[in-house]
Amino acid sequence: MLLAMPTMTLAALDDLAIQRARAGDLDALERIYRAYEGTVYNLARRICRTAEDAEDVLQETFFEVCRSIAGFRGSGPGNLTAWIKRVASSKALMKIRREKYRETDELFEDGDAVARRDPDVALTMDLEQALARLPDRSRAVVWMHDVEGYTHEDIAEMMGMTVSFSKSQLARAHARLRTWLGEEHQ
Amino acid sequence: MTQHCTIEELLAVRDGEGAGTALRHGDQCLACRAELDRLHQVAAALRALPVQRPPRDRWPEVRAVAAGARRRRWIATGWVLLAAAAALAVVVGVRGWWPSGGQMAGQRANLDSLVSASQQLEEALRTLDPTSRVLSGRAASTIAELEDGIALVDAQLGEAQRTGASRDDLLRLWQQRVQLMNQLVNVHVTRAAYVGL
Repeated sequence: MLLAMPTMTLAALDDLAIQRARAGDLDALERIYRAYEGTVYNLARRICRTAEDAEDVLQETFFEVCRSIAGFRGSGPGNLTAWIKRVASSKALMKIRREKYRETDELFEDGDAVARRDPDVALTMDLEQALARLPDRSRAVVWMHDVEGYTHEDIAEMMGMTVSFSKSQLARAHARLRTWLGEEHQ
Repeated sequence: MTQHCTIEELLAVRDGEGAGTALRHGDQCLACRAELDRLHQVAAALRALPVQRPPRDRWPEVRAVAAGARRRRWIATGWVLLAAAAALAVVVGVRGWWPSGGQMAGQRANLDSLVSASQQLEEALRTLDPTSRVLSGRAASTIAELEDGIALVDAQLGEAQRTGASRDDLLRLWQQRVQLMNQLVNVHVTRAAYVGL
């Protein structure tokens, strides 16, 4: 699994800090918070629709981390990253389920699946807007799969859906992104 | 395979899970190969999007809850010891320290009922599971203040037990503890009702 490691994490944390955090040391917990707040917020912000919801996810994630770190059995920052990201992903998915965000799947029909666009479009220019425009579950799947590196099996488990659901959401998301990004540059 | 690959098939190829027919078609079809390149580019562009940073520092709220949980663990442990010590003092009694007759029975009943009330409030707090809820900075600060007060009373109760303080002092401390616990539970009940959980 590809999990993007925040660069400051490795430098800021060591096994000793993790052990101290497990024992409830508040300074060590703050070091963990500082090392991961950006990673967690960014993940939450990409999945949730609003900045306020992403902030709530950030807070809920670290409540959970502080509550459960005593039972965290991994060692080293790599395992800690995977664990914290998993907690954050679950909280963000819970948030979009709880908030009953708009599900606009029916509003956007997939374009012709074999229509082709120029691959050299300036993707980054409008990708942010296109990503935000996706239905919530599609956006969550595309981010978790293509950026965070979760497998369809992982995503299905976290969303409480099937592997086929995850695959079809990813395909629909990419079909829409292709259409929208193409439209922007025609 | 004479038809173009679907996006789902191309995504499977991109992720190293493609079926043989899709792989073969992708090798031969320029359009599908271009689409596959585009899917790689989109994934790369998504990973290259700028990292978004939280607009506000949430550590004070997280810290308040983490510190509260730590205090509660300590209080729970200390409370069991204190309750046991109080119960022992009530059962055994100490001549010269405990008065006799009706007054002693009345005070013992008072102490028993205070210990019992404190126990019920601890249980109510556990049931509410306050750590599972998001707190505002103000609520977190009120809670931290109450928990500090309880920790202080517990420390005084421990000292009172150790030094054999008067029964009036013990009653007063247990009354304070029940009062603070009651306020703490009320804060959490109000919060739970407010957010509809």
